[in-house]
Amino acid sequence: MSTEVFPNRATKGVSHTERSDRTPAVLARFAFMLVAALFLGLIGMVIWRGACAFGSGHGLDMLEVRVLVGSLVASFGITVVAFAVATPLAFGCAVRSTEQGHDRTMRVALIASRFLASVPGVVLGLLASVCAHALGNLLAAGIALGLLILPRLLWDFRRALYRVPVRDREAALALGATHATLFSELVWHLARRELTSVILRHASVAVGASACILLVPWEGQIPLPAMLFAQATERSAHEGSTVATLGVLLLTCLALQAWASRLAPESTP
Amino acid sequence: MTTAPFSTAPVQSPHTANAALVARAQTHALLTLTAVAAWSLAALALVIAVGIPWHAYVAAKGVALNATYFVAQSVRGVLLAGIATAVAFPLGILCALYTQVYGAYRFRRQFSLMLDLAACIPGIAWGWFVAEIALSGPFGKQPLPDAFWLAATVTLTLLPNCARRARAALRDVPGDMVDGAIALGATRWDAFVTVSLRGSRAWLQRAALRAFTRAVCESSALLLTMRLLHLTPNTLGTSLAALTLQTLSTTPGTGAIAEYTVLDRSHVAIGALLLTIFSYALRRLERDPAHVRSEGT
Repeated sequence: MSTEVFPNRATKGVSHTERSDRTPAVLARFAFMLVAALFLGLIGMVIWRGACAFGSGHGLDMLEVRVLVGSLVASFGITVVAFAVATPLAFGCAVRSTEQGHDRTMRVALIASRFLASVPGVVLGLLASVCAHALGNLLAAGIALGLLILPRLLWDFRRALYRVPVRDREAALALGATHATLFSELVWHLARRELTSVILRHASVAVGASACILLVPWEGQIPLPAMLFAQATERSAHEGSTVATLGVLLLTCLALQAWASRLAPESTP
Repeated sequence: MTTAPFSTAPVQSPHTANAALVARAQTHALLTLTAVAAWSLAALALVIAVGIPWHAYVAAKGVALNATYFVAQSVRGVLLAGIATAVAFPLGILCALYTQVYGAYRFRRQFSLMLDLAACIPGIAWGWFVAEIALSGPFGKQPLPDAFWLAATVTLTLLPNCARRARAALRDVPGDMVDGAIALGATRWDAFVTVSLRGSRAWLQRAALRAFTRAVCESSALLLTMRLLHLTPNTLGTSLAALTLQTLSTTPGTGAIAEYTVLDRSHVAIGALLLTIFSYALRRLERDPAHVRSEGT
């Protein structure tokens, strides 16, 4: 069998023996190791600082533990409100987009979602802070967070629904299924796993989103990112509580993301 | 003997008639509900689109604004975002290249999981990490300029996301094309440059623009780094987004804003408007890849 290299666009003018993958491979490995080192460095620093603080007798007392649990509950509360606002709208738009195509309604909705996607979290937070007196802190921050995740949720839902094979969809329609039957009997069952993964991934982002809740004047229970900001910038708070807040925040985000990655079909290489 | 021709008309019975009516009603309900969702989304976007300029108008009414200040902050913010993106994006592509091409096949799932986990770390955690390194690391804060630490904060916030987006872009290229190029004698790097990079060009352009937009809009991580390192807001690294935050002080114990003056309020509102316009303009520059365009048609 001949081992001659046939000239094509990829190999044109290149001797196979002259060109080596070594340099790009080294660079790529360096980049990956850098990201891995940063990720592990952050986790390691949180653990190290926590161990130092607890070792020197600056651990958490019961009151601080209670405040931390309250922050976690507040974070989840805001996330629930955000999803209650964003999920029905995003899911409805995604279903319409897949079942009805790009009619006038969908064109308007997609233009609106593109605009919403371009509004920075800090600006939504500013509007939430303006509305906080009328709506209440939790609701205002939750709506701002919902508006932040809504466009991304919509596009990811659409992507998940479009992954359902067209031939299955067309076969069901050819057999007389209506759009409602098609969605409830076929699309929902095939896309359910990925839709759950999308929700979990965005929940991980929502729990850690800080810009849109930082401007809200919190009273009582403060969500985790705002609590972390307050503890880190106030030197009166000892380091143990700051590191504990950061650790809980990271743990929550990473757990949700790991769960989402486990469910996502993309996790297969 | 003749036989009756086969009829294709459905047999009409009370059961099939009811089923058809129910199916039609279900479809009608589905389309109505989704239309309500779509128009609600549009209404929310309209409220935000009107609310931001209205808030800026109300806050800045009768207040003398310092135009030089806004121009200087915007230029600084864009410069910082440009530097951070220029560092993070190529590194992200290389990182994706390792997870998709050069890394050991049996570990690719773990590599991908690590990228996903790194990408979900909140920006505020990266801000704390950079400040901790600056304050207690081997370099110390003094030998390096303040702008370096702020640029590092934005770069770290972007890097895992860039890698994740680049990985998604590379996955979008059919594996058969890459395998074909390699089978014809191309090295993996050649196959990457000639096939993968070209095939995913639209996605990569989009990812680069999104990274830049995110860098421009990054605020809380920068603010935390600035606060922890006691940096003045007018250093080179102040981003456009931090413009909306930097004039505010933190209420002790709440992590939220304290009282701020009318002048600050007007600057914040105008900063928010500028930031939204800038971000929207960047978003408009994005072009959808071909199959995304065709999805809805």
